[in-house]
Amino acid sequence: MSTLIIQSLINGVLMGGIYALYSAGFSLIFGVMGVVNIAHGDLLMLGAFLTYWMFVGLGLDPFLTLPFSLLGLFALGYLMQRLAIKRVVGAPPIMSYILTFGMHLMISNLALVAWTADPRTVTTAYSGAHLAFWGLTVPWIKLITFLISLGVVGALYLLLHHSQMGRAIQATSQDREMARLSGIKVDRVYALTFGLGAAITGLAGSLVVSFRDVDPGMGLPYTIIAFCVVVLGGMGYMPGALIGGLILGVVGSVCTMIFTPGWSIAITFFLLYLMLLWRPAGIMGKGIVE
Amino acid sequence: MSGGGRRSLYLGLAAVAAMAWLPAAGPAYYLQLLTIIFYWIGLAACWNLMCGYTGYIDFGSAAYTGIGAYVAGLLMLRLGLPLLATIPLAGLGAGLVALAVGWPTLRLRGAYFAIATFALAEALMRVCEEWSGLTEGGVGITIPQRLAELSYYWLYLGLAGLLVGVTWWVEHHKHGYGLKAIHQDEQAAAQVGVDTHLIKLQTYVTSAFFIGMLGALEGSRLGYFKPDDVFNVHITIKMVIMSLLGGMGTVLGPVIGASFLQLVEDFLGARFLNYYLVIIGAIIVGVIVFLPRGITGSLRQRLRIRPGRRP
Repeated sequence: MSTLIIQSLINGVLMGGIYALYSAGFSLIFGVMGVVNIAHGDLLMLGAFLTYWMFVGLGLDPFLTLPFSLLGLFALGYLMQRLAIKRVVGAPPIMSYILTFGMHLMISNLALVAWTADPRTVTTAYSGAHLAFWGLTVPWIKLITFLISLGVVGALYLLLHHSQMGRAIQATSQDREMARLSGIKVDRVYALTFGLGAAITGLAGSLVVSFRDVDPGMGLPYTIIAFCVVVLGGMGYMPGALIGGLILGVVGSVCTMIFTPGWSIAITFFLLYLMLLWRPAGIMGKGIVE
Repeated sequence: MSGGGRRSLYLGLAAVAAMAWLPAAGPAYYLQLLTIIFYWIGLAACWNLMCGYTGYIDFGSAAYTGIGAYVAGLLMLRLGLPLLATIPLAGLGAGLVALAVGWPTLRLRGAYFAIATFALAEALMRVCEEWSGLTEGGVGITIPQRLAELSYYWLYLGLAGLLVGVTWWVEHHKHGYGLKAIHQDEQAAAQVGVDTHLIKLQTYVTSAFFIGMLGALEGSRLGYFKPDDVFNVHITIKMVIMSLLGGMGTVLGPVIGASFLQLVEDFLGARFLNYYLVIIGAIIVGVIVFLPRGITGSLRQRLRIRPGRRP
């Protein structure tokens, strides 16, 4: 029994790394632009399909496709911001929800038309390989995925705090007008931010391909989880994504062990509700609430 | 109340009366289409009442059609209550859930409300699927009672008329000014003495109450449904798009938007469902980017017509 619990905790922590990764993208976009991106999970789905098609078409190893999905989704995010989302920054926030909601409909249904609803899987030579000790198993793929996720979240943090571009992004999120007066090209910062958020989300999509199937409808649950993660960790507070991701990963995994997977989203919602009731600014109390 | 306001009220009542008389004269083929259009006008009016006026966007309205359908259906199945008695109870159930969800979230930024409601509908659908001891799970339930086809026509017409009337009343009443003030600047509204939290909560619970009743009626009209039918995210999507197309925060917006979209959908049919949703998505993006005031608002601006809704 105790082995089972420890196993499910390990699974949860490993999953939490992925949650943290794409939720960091969600949190970044919200923190800087105030845009709630309902199409966020669909960006993850696109990353997953990019990896799938490169694996099937070119025989490329899923891990070797990571730079492509990073660059591809960066370009897509940059364009989305430049062509449409630009129009709603600074407008009443509801415009951004509705706009990204429309994007969610477009992306997920175009994918459905193009690729059908059939789930597809990627199986590599090392898919089943795992570490085994004390009756526990840790799949190598999940471990590597977890480490990559942590590395990317850490790199994002460093980028935001210790680079020219990161400081420009931070300045813009704190005070748009002052940033503009200081010579920062705000439009460009927004496009870069959205591109960056999309890029790490696409990366997360490429990573999940290694251990789950891919289908056009897979995005929506990820969007909901991203919501919950950032509320747990604090909206727009970057390290919060890591904390929230790990908590939600563990909660989801333990729920799946005790109940059925179907209950886990209901319990996730209940957790979200309790957080909104008592600590809307996140566990660390550093999120944007007002 | 000014003469203009009273005249539009009489016009509206005359339109509803004419529609109520229609089944006696009109061809039967169109009655079903009209029944469905009235249903959607009712739903879109509920959504518009909350979201169009306060600017707080509910992305989980399907939660309330689902609660309504299941509360009414299970009361009939398990306790044998008569259909018409279950309808207000279904509304009550939806209203209570709205109260519980709205209480914490309506104090916060609109983003939290959008997120919480979005997740609510998904979570409730899963609960209905998993809790098969109560709800029969994914198998779905068959409703034992049904009203006559024409009763649905009149009930939906009556509810749609009532909801448009409520919107009209809100537009011309202190309550409406409070709501619009929240939309424009919530902090300023609170400073001049508007109890913003209470007004938002009242509006949200009212809107959920009516969505619950409509969902319960539609559930019995369908006769059989699964969690996926009544909690479907497409129900919410349609309510959003109808309000958006007609113009959010206007009295007649839901009427125009719902009639337009339901007619388009009727002509395109369910055969192109996926393409249809792609097109709908493109329309939303297009409307936000090019016509942020909705079709009627943008036309009005283009034609330089003064918005005729001053009291």
